[in-house]
Amino acid sequence: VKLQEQLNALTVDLIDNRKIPKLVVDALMKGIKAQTLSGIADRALKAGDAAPVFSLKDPAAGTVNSAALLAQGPLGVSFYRGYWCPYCNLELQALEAARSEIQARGASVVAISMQNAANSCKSNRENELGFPVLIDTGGVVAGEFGLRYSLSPEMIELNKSLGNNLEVINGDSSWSLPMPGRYVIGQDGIIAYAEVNPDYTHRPDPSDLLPILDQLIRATAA
Amino acid sequence: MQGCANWLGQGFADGHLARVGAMLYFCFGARSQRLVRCRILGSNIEIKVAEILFRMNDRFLSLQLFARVARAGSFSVAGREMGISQPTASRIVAALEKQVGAALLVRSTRAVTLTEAGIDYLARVDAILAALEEADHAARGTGELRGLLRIAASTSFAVRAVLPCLPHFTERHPKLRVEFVLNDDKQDLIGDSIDVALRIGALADSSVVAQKVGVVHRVVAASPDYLAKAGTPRTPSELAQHSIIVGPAGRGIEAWAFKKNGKATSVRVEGRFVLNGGEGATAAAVAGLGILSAGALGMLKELQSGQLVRVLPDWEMGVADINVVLPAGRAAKPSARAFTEFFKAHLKQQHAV
Repeated sequence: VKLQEQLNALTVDLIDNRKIPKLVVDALMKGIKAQTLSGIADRALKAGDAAPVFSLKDPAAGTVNSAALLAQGPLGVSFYRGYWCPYCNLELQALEAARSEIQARGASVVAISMQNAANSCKSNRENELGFPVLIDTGGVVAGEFGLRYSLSPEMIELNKSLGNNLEVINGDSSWSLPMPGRYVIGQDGIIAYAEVNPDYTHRPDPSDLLPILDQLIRATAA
Repeated sequence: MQGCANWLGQGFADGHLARVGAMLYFCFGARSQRLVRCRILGSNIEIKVAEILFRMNDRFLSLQLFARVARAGSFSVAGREMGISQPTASRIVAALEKQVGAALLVRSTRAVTLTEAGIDYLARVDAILAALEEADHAARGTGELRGLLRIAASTSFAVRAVLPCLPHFTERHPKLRVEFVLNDDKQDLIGDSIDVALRIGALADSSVVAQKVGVVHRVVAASPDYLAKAGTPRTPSELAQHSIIVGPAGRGIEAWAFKKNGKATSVRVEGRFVLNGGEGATAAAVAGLGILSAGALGMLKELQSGQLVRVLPDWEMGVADINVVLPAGRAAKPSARAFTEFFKAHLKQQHAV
């Protein structure tokens, strides 16, 4: 099953089975629409841009450096929001399912969020991930990729009412989040693929990464 | 000829050698090398026209010639355009340089190029010649355009968008001469003495006056044959599996960016076929060599005829502006201004760009 079909089913379940009250759904939809109209997705880094080099902590395995990973092969990077976001969890699980195909192409994959160490561990554990889940404290790296945005006062209140207290979950008071973004970085440090969506209920399928990785392998072999 | 000779006589009588020279030039231009016998006030005077042209002080003539030599990179071509021989052209420009007190041109066996002083001088001279044309135009008061209009555009844009509508403009101005400088690379407006340039996309040169006159949608397309063989991409990432044609817009790292329902997806593509001309890139796509991304205008006919079909049609690639660009630092020629207005109105009417 394609990831987006799972995500759509999740949305239908959340709304139709009243797992989230109608008023909250409407407010969330309004927030997504405002994000889309703001043009923030256009400001994120794109294919052809040089990817920022990052060095972030993996609570399980110490520090992970993007340059070190790139020395071995192309790098897939997924920016996600947190353990509290069911869409992010489905995406992380889908990435894990595709991990062997990604690694078979000589590439590695990492997930990055602004969550603190404990919550990063939680994302890792609950989704049974076999790749690094990195801690981007304060969203510095997300900012360098042009993905980080500040929540509006209404969205802050809404998230508090849903129990998503980002100050506690992330361990910083910025009330900001990354737009979900998926990147493939080539060994030359240039972004080969980017998909950024202000609508977090939509994510690219992990299979979209494979043709990109195949091309990078061909380019290296040539 | 008789009138000319009389006028010549007066000229001589008044000692206005320069005006005489100019008159001779306009009477005998093409035969200027010959000795011309004029009968004036009953006496025969033999005048070597070239000699007079050399000695005379007609700045406008020499400036015009200098501008043409600079553009053509050749004395003989410029001379031919003005109806004088190469040695004469060379001597007039040499006299000009002497008068100015600076070397304006570098003469080598292969070509004539501008010196640094020459580049600056040409820019100023163009302004003077344009002002003269403006004065003539104003004096005529009929709106009729004359003289020379140099238009720069990419071959594709000229062939597909400008030339088809040009008769509607030039029919109204039978004495207007139009030179096209067709080049997919962006020209130096001042150095190339361009009066008006049509450019698509971002303008790198800040020393220009640009006016947006329309937009071109960027699209992805391939031939039906190619797609039957290689398959049709359903997502941008699948472009990575395809043979990619890169046109003149692509320099260095080629990446194609798309939008769909607010999401931004971009893919780096490897150009297998790289062409530095838009027409060539379209022809490569029609030939089934691969998938091309370019302005829709450059392949409109082919898309309409079915030689090419759009790929990823529900993914937006955005638009590029069509700009009319006039060189800064001098007033635009009346013909450049009129052409700008004409072309703007034409695009508005077409609306389909």
